[in-house]
Amino acid sequence: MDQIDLSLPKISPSFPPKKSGQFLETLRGLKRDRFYYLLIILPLLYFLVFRYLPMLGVVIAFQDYDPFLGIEGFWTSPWVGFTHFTNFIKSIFFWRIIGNTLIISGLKLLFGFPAPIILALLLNEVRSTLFKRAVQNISYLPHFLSMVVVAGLVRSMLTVQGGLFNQIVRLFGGDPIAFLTYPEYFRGILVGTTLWQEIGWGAILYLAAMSTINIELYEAAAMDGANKFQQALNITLPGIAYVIAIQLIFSIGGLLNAGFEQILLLYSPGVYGVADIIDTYVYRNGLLGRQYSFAAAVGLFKSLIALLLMVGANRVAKWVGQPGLW
Amino acid sequence: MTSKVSRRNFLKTSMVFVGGAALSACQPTATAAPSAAPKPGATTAPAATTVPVGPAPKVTIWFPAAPCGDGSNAERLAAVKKVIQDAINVDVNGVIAPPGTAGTEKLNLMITSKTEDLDVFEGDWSQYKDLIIPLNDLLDKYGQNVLKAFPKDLWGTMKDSTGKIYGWPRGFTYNHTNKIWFRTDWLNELKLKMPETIDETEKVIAEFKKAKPDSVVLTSNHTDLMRCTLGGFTEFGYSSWVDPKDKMLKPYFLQPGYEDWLAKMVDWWNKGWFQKETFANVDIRAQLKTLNVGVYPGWYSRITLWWEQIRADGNLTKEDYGFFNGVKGPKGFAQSVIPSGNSAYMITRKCKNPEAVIKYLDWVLTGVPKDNTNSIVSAYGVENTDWKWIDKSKGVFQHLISECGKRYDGQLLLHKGYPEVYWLAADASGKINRHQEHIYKYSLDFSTGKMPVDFDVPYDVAAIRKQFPGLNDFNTLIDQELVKFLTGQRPLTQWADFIKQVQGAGLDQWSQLYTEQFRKYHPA
Repeated sequence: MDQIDLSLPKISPSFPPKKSGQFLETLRGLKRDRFYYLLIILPLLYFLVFRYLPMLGVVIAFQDYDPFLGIEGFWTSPWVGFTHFTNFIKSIFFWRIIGNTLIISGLKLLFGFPAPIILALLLNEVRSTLFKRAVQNISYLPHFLSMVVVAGLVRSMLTVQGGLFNQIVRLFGGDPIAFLTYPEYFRGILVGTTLWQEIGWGAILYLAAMSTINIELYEAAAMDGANKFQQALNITLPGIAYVIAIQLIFSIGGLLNAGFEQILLLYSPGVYGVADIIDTYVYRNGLLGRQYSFAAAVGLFKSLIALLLMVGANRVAKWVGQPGLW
Repeated sequence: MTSKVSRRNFLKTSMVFVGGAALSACQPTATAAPSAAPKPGATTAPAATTVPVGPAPKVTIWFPAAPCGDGSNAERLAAVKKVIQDAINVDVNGVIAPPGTAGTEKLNLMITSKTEDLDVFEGDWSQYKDLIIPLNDLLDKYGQNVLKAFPKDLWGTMKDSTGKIYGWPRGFTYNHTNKIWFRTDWLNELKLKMPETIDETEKVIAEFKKAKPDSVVLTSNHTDLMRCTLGGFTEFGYSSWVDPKDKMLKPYFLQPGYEDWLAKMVDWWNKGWFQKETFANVDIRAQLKTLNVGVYPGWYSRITLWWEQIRADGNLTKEDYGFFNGVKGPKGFAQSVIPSGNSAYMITRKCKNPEAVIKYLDWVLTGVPKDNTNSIVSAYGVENTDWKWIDKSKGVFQHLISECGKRYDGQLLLHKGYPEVYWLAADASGKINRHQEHIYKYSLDFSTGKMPVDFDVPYDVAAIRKQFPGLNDFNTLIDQELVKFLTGQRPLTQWADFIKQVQGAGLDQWSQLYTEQFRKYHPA
């Protein structure tokens, strides 16, 4: 009978590996997994060329950049330090555009964030597959429309002469209202349009998360006498809480993206007071007014605030026991 | 049988594709330019020894507001290019601009782009001063016909205070653009005469509203409304003015009488006369199509071009618009003349062949105003194919191809205003184009509008902005608040608060900087 060797494996005299050993190990790893490293080169190049290299352009926020000099202008344009940032902060519209950006984003977050969750919860309870699919399809189709088309639809529906909403107003004996020209309606229109366009698309992710919840939990809850609402509250919602947390972090990170295209296509001087956001301001001054350095400074300012918001949201998520992004 | 792709084979194949793509990307563009390839029997000697005339230098022109949207028929465009190339050996090309602010956006990107050609574009030269080249030497050397083609006062507006010429005039001083148009068929139906004063205009609007409750007053925007009517209430109309108290230049809305005008317009608004979206990027074309627009104080081409098209499409023979040339208010002419200001065609700093641009322009303007043939070629195509003379001495010609998609759409054009004022075009059926007839009749008559005080001052806005970074904000504030007053969102009782707001936004700085430039041309 063979003797069973019960001794511990011999430890190499070079354990723990020396630095040169580590290097060789890394090389061996690279050789072994070269196929995977090669595969990742193109995506990495993509991020490097299209995402990280353009970031060098932020240097123009601290210069009086001459666009004719191209990349060369990055080191030959006169350095002006924080002048453009100071000009932005001194602008008569500084607080207005910051306020509008946060208010419009906040409203979209307040109404737009829970809406897909509620829709997903409702759809999750629908037993007729045909009805469920039909509602899903109808609700997420608007997501695929370009904002230009959506803005055209909104304008047509809200116009004074022949617009659907004003026809309803007339039907009830009211006078037509030029909705898009009144500040009191404008933000509501923005939020309503976003809800209509994104609610179905947003629900897809939550529905997918719900499908991963163990069905036995529902069966057990039913046996304990829980009704559908209690099941949704105590099983479904906690089951998708991690997705909600991640989505919330992303939403807060994007809080300063209040919907540039949508506002640009719908606003006019009469509603600037409630509609002018950081992005429309940058567009008017930067691209239309050709103040590229000033616009870059405002854009950089916005990015820094967004980064702070995202870090803050991530910390809060971890604090309440959710995984967070990092 | 199934085949399995090994890692090695996968990588080999990938490398072949990547390598191939890299090689093709590094290829010279010979395939894109077949003319560069040697023809059978030709030698491979340098082009200069085989081609009698050197290669045609390329010129690229920005072409906004293409009448047909998509631009020219390719064959017709090629024919016009050939005429130009045969005459002066310049390869002229046009870039069709997207409409609206997207066009401005694209233009600003193209002016500075390292990869896209753009040599000539139009706009306010003072705003682009850092991006364009002075033309004095080029004009002296290659542009004698250009110098002769425009009046001296227009050349004056193309120069900075040191005498450098930064462009050639685009357009001219406008008095034909802002009229108060009325539905003539409604006037006839209600037995009303064409209004000649603001008071009569009000009466007509009221009568229209009584007889046609859906009728509205429509305007392009509040600026056009001011250009059409403000002169009737203020001494200088829609113009900056010198305040006699401190001899400083002030913005138009501070002049005596402006509040009266505003009160009148608010009254019109409160009576429900204005179309409710008229100050909010209203779709003028769609509104004209409703046939409910009784009065239109606004930009002329909406009637002479858009309305004409609506009439033609809808076969509307009875419905039409007309105007009285010289409507007056309590303070005189209601209309304000629009100075040509700094509106110019300019050559970009990155242009490789500026002399070719001026040579082409000089060829276009050869013979003007007596013989406009070349300028019409650049605008409408080849003589006797795309158009023909009806009366050359009067500048009347006829289009032979009018249909979009079949015609040359003018995308090699680098002039507007002059020499167009000397032409009159008839369409293929022999009918004179309403738009051109309007320009021909009214463009050189400045007797029915108020000339702005600073019509001859080419302000260097870029220099002003350097000292007053909040200039854009200042202008935005004025625009948005005036619209609020006009639409009743802000009561007129807050006018004094508005003035304080404007002062807080930099009114004194505005006044000081604009006065400094104004005084270079109008010493105190």
